Amino acid sequence: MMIYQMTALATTILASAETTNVALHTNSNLELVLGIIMFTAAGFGIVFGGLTVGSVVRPKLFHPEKGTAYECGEPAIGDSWVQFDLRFYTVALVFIVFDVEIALLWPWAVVFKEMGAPAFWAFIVFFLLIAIPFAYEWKSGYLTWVRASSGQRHKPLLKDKVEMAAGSTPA
Amino acid sequence: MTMWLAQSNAWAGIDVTRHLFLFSPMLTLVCTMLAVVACPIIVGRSAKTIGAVVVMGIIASFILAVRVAGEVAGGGISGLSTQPASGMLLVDNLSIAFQLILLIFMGGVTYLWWMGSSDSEENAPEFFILLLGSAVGMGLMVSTSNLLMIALAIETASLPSYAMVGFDKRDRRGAEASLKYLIFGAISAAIMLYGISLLYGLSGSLSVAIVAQHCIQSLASGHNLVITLVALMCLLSGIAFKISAFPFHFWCPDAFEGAKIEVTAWLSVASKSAALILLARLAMVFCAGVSAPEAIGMLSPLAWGIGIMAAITCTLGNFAAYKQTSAKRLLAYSSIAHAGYMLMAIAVFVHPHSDHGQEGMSALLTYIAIYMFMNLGAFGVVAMVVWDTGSDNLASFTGLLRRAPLLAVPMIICLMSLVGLPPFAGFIGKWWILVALGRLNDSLGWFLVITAVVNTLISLYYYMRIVVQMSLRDDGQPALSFPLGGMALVNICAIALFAMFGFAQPLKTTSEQFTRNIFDTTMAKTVVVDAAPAQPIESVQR
Amino acid sequence: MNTLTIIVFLPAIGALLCLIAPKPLIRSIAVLTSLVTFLFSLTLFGMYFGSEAGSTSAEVFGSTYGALHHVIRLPWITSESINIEFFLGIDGLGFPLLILTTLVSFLSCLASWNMERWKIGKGIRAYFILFLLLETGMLGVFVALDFFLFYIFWEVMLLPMYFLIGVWGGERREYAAIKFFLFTLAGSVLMLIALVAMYFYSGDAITQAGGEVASAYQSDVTLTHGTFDLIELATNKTIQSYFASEGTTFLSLKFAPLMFVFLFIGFAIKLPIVPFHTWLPDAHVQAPTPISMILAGVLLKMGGYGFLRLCYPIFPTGAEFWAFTLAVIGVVSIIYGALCAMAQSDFKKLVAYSSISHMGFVLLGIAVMTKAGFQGAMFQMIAHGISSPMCFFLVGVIYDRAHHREINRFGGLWLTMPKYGTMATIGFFAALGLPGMCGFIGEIWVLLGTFDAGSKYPWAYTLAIISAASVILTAGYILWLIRRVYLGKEKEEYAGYSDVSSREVFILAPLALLALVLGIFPMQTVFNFTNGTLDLVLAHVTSAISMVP
Repeated sequence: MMIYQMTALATTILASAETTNVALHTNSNLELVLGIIMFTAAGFGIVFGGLTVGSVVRPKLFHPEKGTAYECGEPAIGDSWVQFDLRFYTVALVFIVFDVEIALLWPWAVVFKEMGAPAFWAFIVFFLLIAIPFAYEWKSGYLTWVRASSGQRHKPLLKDKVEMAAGSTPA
Repeated sequence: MTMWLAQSNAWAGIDVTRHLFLFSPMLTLVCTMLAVVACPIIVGRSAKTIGAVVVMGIIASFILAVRVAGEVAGGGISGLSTQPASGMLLVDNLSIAFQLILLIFMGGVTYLWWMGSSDSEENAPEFFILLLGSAVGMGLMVSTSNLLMIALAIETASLPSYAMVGFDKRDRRGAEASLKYLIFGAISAAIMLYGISLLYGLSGSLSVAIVAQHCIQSLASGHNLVITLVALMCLLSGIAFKISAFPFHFWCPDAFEGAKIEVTAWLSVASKSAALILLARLAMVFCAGVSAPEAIGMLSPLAWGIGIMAAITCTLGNFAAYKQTSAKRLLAYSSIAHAGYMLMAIAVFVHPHSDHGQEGMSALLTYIAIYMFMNLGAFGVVAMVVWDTGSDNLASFTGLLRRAPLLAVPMIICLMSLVGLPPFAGFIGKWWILVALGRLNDSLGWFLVITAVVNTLISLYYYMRIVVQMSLRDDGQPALSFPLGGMALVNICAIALFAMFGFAQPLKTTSEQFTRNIFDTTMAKTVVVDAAPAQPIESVQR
Repeated sequence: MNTLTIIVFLPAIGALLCLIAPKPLIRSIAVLTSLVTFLFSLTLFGMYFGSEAGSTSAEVFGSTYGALHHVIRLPWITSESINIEFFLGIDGLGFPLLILTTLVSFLSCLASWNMERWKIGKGIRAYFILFLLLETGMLGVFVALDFFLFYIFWEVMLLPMYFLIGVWGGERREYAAIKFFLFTLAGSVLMLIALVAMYFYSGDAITQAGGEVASAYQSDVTLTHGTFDLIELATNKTIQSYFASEGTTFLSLKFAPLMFVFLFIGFAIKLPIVPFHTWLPDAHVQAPTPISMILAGVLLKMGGYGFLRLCYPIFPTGAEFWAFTLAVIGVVSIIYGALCAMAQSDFKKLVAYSSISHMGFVLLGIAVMTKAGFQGAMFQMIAHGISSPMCFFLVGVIYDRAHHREINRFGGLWLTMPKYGTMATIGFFAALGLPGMCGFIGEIWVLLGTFDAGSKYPWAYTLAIISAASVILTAGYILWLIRRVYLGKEKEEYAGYSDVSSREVFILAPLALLALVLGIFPMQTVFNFTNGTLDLVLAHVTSAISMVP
């Protein structure tokens, strides 16, 4: 993620530099390279500088409560290094898919009148691209929270197999 | 709907019907993908049904591609914009030629998968969604001259590939391979995107033609030289990863060994050749516009760079294949070596002596077409051995000439063709690359000629290891049972290799036809750099 | 239909028939195919005795190198700048070797009739298919005059030969087969570099001369690009002078000597010449008897043919440059091969090493570049092509019965098998070079040629004397061999052995007869057919050398 942010920033800086004739056109590469180095150094500097300064300046009063994770004011139950249920990811993915659809739907609605038929058909295609996979997910049972329902696939998961082989009853 | 489309033809000056037609092969694949997704909802998850749907989709797409090929034969067409250079997509002889090869190969892989899976196989829809998705990505990789589209297409091709490699959840090696592939892929994608963003920052455009003009200017004037070179290197490394060229080849053996055999076959040919054609297109655009003497001076090191990369890639692939005991891994290294041979063809058009003409391009295309048959045949036989014996170790090939002569003979032919021994087509593929290199008539050309032929000698030994296992050794293993269709498939490949040798002339003529006029499209002669100021679009400036 | 095309592809058609024929018929089909090919190749004598031509090679092939008979030229791969032709033709270089090939192939096909493995009924189909494909490859090499085509035929032989040694060979067959394959391919790789380089350099020559050059030996043909035509490459003045020019460099080395070396090593591995010979004892010993016959009788000759067809006419200056080195290597091969043969206790290995020694004479004869040297080298190839298959078959005959090849365990075989003993004596004396037998003529001609060369190369006298003296080594190992194997007291171990069967006699008799006839009538059997072309090649080479300042 860091790389992407840096990339975007660098692009912006370079682009503006070019249009405003500040660094690029008047001076040589050296300055550009220097610019990048400075930019990188500043990036690292802000992060590490902040941490360093903080570690020096902040009062060092230890208390066990301070060491616990912040859970919106609620006392934490266990630690956060647990394996999340994969079902959360499925739901999150579905959410993102529809999120993106909304994001496209908005500008589409704005220009719909101008563009007319092509816009309509374009969106139908896009909608199908979303809707059919959604139906597929539904049918395949990925949206069913409790897996014992009718949509469940019959092949046992590896975990269950191992447990069955070991003789213990699956949870 | 027709009426609406006709109405819309006037929209923004683009002939929508025509463009839809031009992109119909890839659109058909997308529709097939939707159909496959819809299958579990409507007709269930039967592998045979879904295989049939996919085959129908591929055939439809192939027919359309043939028609499009006829349409674009006279000259390239840049798509979806009135301004050719700024188009995100383009269709020309080269891209349609690759799509045709891709579709044929995809038919072969689908058929192989179809034979290898039992009807109780439950994951058919998922597999084919991924296969079709990566095929669409590869098809797009070769039909664009826009940096953003290149990045998107590479990702579209890559993401399904990662999943395909680890497709069998229960296979630990597959999971490990998939993870390695994913990590290498993500890093190289990030590097490539960084390069693309730098190029965009430098030139203010994502169109390769304009970017190339800027790069050439800066190479010629020495202005922004370092940053340009860094950006180009980043871009190159992203593509080199897909080609699995040295030093970005590490993922290849692991991913190929861990993946299912059909997936390995798919990646070894389709993904590499798509990236090679993409690189060829970029190289062409970058070098065709060079006229300033200083810039020409810069081309020679670039050609040497690619040439040395090619030489190391194929030497390293060949040497690394020596000690392998897994047939899949051996063929993975062999595919690295072949990527090296094909990269040599690309070094040709970067070279300042070359007229950036068709010779290297058509040599590359011929090689890819031949390579497809060689690998499909070889992997087909390996697949059938794996299905029966459960192992791709060389030991399971022992005595194959007795156990299954109808598999062993085509395997020998495919392997000897991979060596490049006449009278098989592999030799013709190498020959045209040698001719293209020889025509450069300078030390780089001859250096690569010598490297290529010496590598032929090196590669003989490890391909012969399989041949020796099959023909000279026998430990009395029982006869192999194999599907008749698979036997037919590999024998067709073997016969095709004979035929492509005998009909080397029509093959060459065809590939020359398919590489005609591509320079015009990609270069988009209408581009005038002065008229397109280096102005980033607004959203970025904000 | 073109005669040469028919001859070359008849065995391939036979191979196709073997593919579909029922098992019991396969042997007959294969033998019949090779017989028909042999008989058909005999019709080529018609070009000497036909109405329109004279009876000697000089009359048939005119006064300049490049006259051909039975020519067929069809475009195969042509593009704007590449012109690869299906170009077959025959002259005094290819003709005797072609006849030799068809003859030896027929005899060794017959020799394969009763291999032990056939009793199990395994592999008979594959064996004969591969055998016939091999024959097509060999025949093609001797008549192909387009370099690309020549290279294809050259490579086509490799795979069948690999399997014939590797599947049907002796104990260490796997090693021997891969060694043969790797060595030969190493040579071909160098040849491939030369193939590409010669094409583009000839193109450069034509470009420099203005882009259009009239063909040297074809009327109405203008060259605008490089060429693969072996005759054109050798005779075209423009191309020749460009190749020979000091300024023509390949990777900053002088072009002609370098290309000469590339081609030379390719052929020298096949011949084989001392530093590249190690594949030969392995391959010859491990191969089954009929394949050893082919290897010794035909495959080795391709090296010598390659020198005479490619190296010397196309790169005369390279030949001049390396003359001394090559002659020395030739002499070293003669002596080294003879000494190694003397040290062997394995019957077959002895014969294999004697081949190296004999092929040394071929190289020496060619290297000195005199009339007698060239003629002797060619004769030596033919003579060896007759005597060595015979020797290998003789070894095979006794191996079939005794199942071992230890020279010292044999003895008194003449008494046990009198007919076999007689044949063996003829065969080994022919190899020894006894006057009146074929081996003698070749060796003496080469020695004469080497003395002859003394006028231009002072070192030639020394080499001639050394190689003449080395004949005593040949006599040494062969006479010693005959004493140990055939003479002496009859051993009980071998008492019950049947003498040679009529099939075996049928194979040995023609070879024995030819060994005698060639020794007594060298002019009428070989020289008349070859000397014309050889003299033309030599004249071409010497004039090209003299033109270079």
